[in-house]
Amino acid sequence: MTTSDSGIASDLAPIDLANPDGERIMLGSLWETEPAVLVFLRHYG
Amino acid sequence: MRDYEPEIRGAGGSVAAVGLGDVNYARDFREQTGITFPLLVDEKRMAYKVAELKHASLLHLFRRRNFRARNVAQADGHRQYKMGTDPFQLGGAFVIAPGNTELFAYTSETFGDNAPVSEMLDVLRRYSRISS
Repeated sequence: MTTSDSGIASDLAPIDLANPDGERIMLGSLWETEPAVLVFLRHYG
Repeated sequence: MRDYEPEIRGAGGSVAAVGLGDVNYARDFREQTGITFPLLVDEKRMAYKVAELKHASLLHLFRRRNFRARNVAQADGHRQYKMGTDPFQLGGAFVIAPGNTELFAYTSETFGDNAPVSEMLDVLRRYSRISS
C-alpha cells in the first residue's frame, strides 16, 4: 500500500465547508480518528 | 456512494461527500436521497482546486464512454438530481487516514469515470490490518 503524508491531504485538512444545516466542518476532522473516503461529486446524484 | 457505505464502514472507514452549489441545493439533495453521511458544500470551489480535480469540455459529452456510463447508471436505478453550479466540473475520490495520510487518490478524466470502489475497500482493509 502506497501512502503519502503530504500534499493534497494536508492541504485539504484545514479547509472548512458548510453542511446542509449550515454548520462548518473542517475536512481534516473527517479522518482524524479513522480513514475517510472523501468523494468529490460531479453533480448531486 | 451511498450504496457502498455499509461496506466502507465494515472495512473500517467512513464516507463524506463534497459538492458544489449552495447549502439549499445540498439540503434538497440530502432529503431526496436520504443519505446519512456528511455532505459538504464547497461554494467557493476551494477544496476542488486543492484536490486538483479536472474540468471536462463539451467534447466529453459526445464520447461513447459517457453514453455507456449514463446507460449503466440509469439501469442501476441511479438518477441525476441536479447539475452543480459547474456542469463541466469533474469529480474524484480520496481515502485519507489519520495524520493526513493519503491512502488512495483518483481524479476523474471524463464524465462517468468514477473511482473504483473495490480499490478503495482494499486500501481500507489493508490499513485496518496494519493499524490494528
